[in-house]
Amino acid sequence: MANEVELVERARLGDRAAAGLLVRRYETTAYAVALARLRDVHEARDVAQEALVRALSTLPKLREAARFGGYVARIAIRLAVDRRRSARTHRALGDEASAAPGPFDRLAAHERRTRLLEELGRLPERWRQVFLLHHLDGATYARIGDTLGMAAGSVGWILHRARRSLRDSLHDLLEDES
Amino acid sequence: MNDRKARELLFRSVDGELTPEETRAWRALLQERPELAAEWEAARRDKQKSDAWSAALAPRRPGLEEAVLSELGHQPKWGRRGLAALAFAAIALLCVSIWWAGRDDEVVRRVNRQPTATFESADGAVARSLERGVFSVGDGRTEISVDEPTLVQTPIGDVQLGPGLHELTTDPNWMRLWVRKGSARLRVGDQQIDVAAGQTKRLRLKKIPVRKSLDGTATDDVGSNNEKKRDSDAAADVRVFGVVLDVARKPIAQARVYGGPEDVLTDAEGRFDFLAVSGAWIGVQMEGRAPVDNRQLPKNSTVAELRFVMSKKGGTLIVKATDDEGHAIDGADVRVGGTWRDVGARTTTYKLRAAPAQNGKTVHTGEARFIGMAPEWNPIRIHAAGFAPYQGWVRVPPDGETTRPFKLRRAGVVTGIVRNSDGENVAGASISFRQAGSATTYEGISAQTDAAGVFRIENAPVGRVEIVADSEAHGAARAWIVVKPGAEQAWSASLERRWPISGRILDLAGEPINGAEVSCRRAFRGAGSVVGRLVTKADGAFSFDPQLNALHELWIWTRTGRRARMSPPDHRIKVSPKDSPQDLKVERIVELAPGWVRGTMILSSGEAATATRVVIWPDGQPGWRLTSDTVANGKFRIGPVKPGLYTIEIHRDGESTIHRSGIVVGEGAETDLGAQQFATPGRVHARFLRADKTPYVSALHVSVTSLDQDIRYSVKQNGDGTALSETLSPGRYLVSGAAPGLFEEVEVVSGKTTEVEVVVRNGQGLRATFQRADGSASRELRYRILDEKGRLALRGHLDNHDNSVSVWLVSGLYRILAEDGEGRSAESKITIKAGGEAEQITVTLP
Repeated sequence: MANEVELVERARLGDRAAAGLLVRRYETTAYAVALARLRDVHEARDVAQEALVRALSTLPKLREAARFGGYVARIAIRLAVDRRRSARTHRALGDEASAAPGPFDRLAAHERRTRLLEELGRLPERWRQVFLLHHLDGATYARIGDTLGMAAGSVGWILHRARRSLRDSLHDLLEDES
Repeated sequence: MNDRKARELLFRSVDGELTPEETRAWRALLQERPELAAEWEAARRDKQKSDAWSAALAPRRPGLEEAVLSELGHQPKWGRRGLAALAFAAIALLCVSIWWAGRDDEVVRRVNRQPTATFESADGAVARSLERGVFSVGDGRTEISVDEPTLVQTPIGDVQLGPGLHELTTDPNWMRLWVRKGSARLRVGDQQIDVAAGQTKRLRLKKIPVRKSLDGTATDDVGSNNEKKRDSDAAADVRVFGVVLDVARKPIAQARVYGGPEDVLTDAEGRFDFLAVSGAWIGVQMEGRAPVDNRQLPKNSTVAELRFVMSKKGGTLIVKATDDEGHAIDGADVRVGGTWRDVGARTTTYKLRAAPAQNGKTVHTGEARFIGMAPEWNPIRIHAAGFAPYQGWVRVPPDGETTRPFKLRRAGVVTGIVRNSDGENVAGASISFRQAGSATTYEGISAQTDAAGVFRIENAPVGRVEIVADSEAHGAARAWIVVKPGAEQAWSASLERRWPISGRILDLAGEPINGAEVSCRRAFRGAGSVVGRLVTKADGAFSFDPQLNALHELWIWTRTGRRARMSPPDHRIKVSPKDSPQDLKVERIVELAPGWVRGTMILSSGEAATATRVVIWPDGQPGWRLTSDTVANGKFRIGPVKPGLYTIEIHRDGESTIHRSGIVVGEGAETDLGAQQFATPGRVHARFLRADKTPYVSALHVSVTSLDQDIRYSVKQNGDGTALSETLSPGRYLVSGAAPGLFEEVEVVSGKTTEVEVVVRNGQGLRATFQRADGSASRELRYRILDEKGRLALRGHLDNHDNSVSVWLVSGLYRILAEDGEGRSAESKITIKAGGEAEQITVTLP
């Protein structure tokens, strides 16, 4: 796997393949932190895309190439804050979960997602960020600490509490039949 | 080790973050504090559940990479350097154009869409523009002028060109680049050379790569003088090439690279080159070296270049097995390595294939020798007749010879009988052991019960182990037992029987209903609750796989098809597998035309409320809900739903939530709720204080719950002991947080901020144990703890025979309500004092 610093340097020189690899590597990071703030999957996806475009187009501003992940995350959080302030755009149910096979499954998936987002919304934002970065992006404690600018030692505690809190509130979650 | 450090190790262990040193510390800790094993198990279950839930939020966005790159291509700037480069490019383009314009004797081809590069080939072929800044050219000589960094793909490799003038020639065996002006990098596989202005360099190919034609299909030169086109379906293949090196960056020959249709061995220069399916996992394995992490091939590329760096070979490990008195054990079977190791279940990117295992047998000195193992932590297993099995980890030294002694204890004997809940002997149940502190089963140490349900294991592990009895027709039973060396330990299990859930769906006249849709789910469980679903035939019969005797729910639609499934189930019937329902008489719901609910939402400011979430569900039947959003003029129309009574909830950020029950939906009718205006929201500002009135900054789980509508609202916590909730409808609310049982009631007034002080009072720990009258634990159980005014302090769910819960509550009188999956329920009261030892209570279910 290419070194991150090398990828960033290549992307700075306009290497699109390197930029593509960076996008693939960090799209979930951007999405996770945006989702933690917005709690809306559509908007989080949009913000993730915008954050990656912005991060790649302002690479010269990045002083430490090794911190690209944190850079993307900060941009995504800022964009999410802006997005939340401005008018929100929801999408109709029919637009989403196109991967689900039938209307009932789509409904069930939608319901489950909505419920999870509701319960996540009750957690402090930092907890949500840690939880989503770990479970969606598969980030290690060290990487989460680096991305969010916090001690890696605290990550385990937060993650554990977030899971326990969700377990208590989601134990009756309706499961999709698929 | 203090408690905090112990917890941190526990969390890291659950998430697979332990370093080898921490792993040792964790194991030692588990020996010292075995109660942590149960906590670890609970934390691991939480992690698994969280993984399952999070899957619903996974970003499903194919093509994001393309979208971002495409958007980048249209960015007005690429940083400050980009501006300078663009300016330079414009000037260079002008100059080059003028220069080229004077060259009448040569054919000049310009790619229309890409004004930043020009290509001239000897045969007049035009370069293909793949995307901005990336071109593709064919074989032969091509002159290229570029004024921004450009990637040129040729049939055999890539060339990264800096701004300038270049002449590129490709041939099946070599590439040549003459840089007249500027600089460039020429790359084929792992070969790469940099070329400066005025230089001509030729790169002779060490290995002829699979060639890629302009249309993206691959061609193969190996074994053929002529290019032969591959089938178009080969486009899904990815050419994988690269090199395997050691830590000193020297090539490793004969390393096995796997992931393709067949494993391939690296050549003398450590190279490999093969075709694999896109998305395949590629890894390297070699005896004596640690396996290298797998990498997944990209799904949207036809070429992947990989470089693997392997550890150096390990030294010699001598395993010496002795008994308690230090006598050598002859003939013990020793296995080192080989277990699949999942260091990264948390990521989807890394998996490790196991280091190849080596088997050995100790000789009269008690020693078994292992040469060339991977120099890392390897699993080790020692089995010797008459001795308890040993399973653990051993570190193979990086060099030299190292002897690791292992003292084996005499084996224990475990005997017992396995019966089912009806007292019948269970034949063929398997008995196995799991190591304390890990989920590892003792391999090869197991037995099956005979016809009388009896088992006997003579080489049982000693110490504290988990014993598991399992049978297909029953549930599993497990228990922690302590086995002493040389002693016999008895353990008998009672397995719960599984029962089929079956019967017939009949209408009220007793006629079978053909085509009814039946879905069976466990009534008590969230994730994984659905047992199955089916459609009845002419006899109306349904049957689901045997289930443990926990409460299940049958959802029945008496009609099939999309319209039926878009409606809530016609009937929801709770059943217990043990008393499987035989005949279920239900009302046949005729094909009623569904109804709709519509309305118009208005913000508290008077404007149309767009993008407002509307949720509807049948009155008193949570679990099924339908969602929609308002459109531009604030109108919504939600449905289709079966005629009946419904509850509707309307949310919008910044507004109070509207909750209405008892909405009647008629057959084929549209219920108009008319204009609904959000009330101007009120706010609650809560301050959490200690008894001495100083701020209580560590208040967690702060929430505001509506007493009128039973809705819990999120609260913004400020970290200074205060919390603010801004979008509340007028009404009565409970502010809770900091500790279960702490409540403060407030009245919210439209447009006003209600200040509330919550004084955190002292309390006590409570350990509640739930059991049946016969002393056994319920298989699943739901509990609620209410304060003396009936307010919910805490609720939770226990399963797999976990029968106790430890919580901390503030002082007061509480009621504990418990209900298990078989419909038993019980209630107990307890008084929690301010301070002191934890209270214990046993709640007995009938």
